[in-house]
Amino acid sequence: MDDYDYYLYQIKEVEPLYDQIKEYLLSIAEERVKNVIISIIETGRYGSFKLHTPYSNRDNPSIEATRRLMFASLLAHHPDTALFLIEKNICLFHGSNGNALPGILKYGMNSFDQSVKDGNPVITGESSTRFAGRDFISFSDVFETALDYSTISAKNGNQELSFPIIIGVSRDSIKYLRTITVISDVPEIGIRNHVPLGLIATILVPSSKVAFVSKLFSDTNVKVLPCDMKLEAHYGLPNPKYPNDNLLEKIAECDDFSFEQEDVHKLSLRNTLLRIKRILTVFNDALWRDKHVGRNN
Amino acid sequence: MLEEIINSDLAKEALMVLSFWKEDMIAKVDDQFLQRLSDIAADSHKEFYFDKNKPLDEQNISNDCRDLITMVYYCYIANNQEQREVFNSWINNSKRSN
Repeated sequence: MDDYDYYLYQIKEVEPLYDQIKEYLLSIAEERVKNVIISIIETGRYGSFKLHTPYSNRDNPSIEATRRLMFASLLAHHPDTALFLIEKNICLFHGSNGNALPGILKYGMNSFDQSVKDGNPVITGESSTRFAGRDFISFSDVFETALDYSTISAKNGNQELSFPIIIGVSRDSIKYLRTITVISDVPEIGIRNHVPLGLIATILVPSSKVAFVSKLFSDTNVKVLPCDMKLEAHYGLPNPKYPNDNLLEKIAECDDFSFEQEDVHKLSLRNTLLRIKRILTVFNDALWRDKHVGRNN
Repeated sequence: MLEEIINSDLAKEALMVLSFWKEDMIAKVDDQFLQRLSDIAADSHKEFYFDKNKPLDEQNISNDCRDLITMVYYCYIANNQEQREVFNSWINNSKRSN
């Protein structure tokens, strides 16, 4: 009996709805990914792609169940996104929100201490990993963990929203990173100091944001892909709405909205020529310089 | 030059507002402009969130950001007729405020 048989036996015990979840995911999935879903759920791998990494909790059937079932959910809801992750061997994930993107594009991902040392702004969640002296960037090989953080991170109060993002790093890139062991309630993998932009393989964002984020990252090798999933209930925290901690109930479509053109037009009508004149001059100068002189001049 | 008038917080605020524009509008905005804006925005310590239940003109965004958003709309999105309407409105608003 190899490791995966062991996990299969244990997973069915820790996840009572295992068979129902598998049946449900197969019922909604496209035909082309059904065998992939079965392989992921039953073995935690597909071909040479393995979900589990040596850096995280190995002998925990509950976490392994979540790891497999959540990735299978991604296959069912966003097959192209999941197949890309499989193709590129992307198995480490970090959840954040849209506010982090400019900093990531310019500076890569940095720990709290690295940001302070470099004189760069500390934004979004890095400060949370500073708790009790932990100084690292938090990744996970459990997609749900990153999804959880991205869901929480995208909200500021009840109505205030940014948009969730999930950053993906390939297993092949891990050897270039300084990993550390993390003792945590959630399956975390710590990366010391810095993840350069060149090692970020993908960023998952809501479908409505793919065009925008793709434009930002168009000069990089980062692949921007859609993921409209969010978690209704958060990892490890009891939620009376979901007493059985049912994985399927936890997944929902992420909060999303857009400003229509008529909204923007209406806003524009309110301005004055005086206010616009100043910014117009500099704007045109900047555009001319960008076009004729170059971005770095 | 862009940096002289657009500081990092303003660039970040504008960029985050633009991120919530409809895809067909974003498709018309120059990639390089967005990347320049993002480059300046990278040094901002602020985060920006928006109320999904409010239209754009009721969002809590700064006047400078409104100006910059208006410019982006005028330069990249508005057709000739919309540009004329917006420009005439600016002139009229300026006269009223004098």
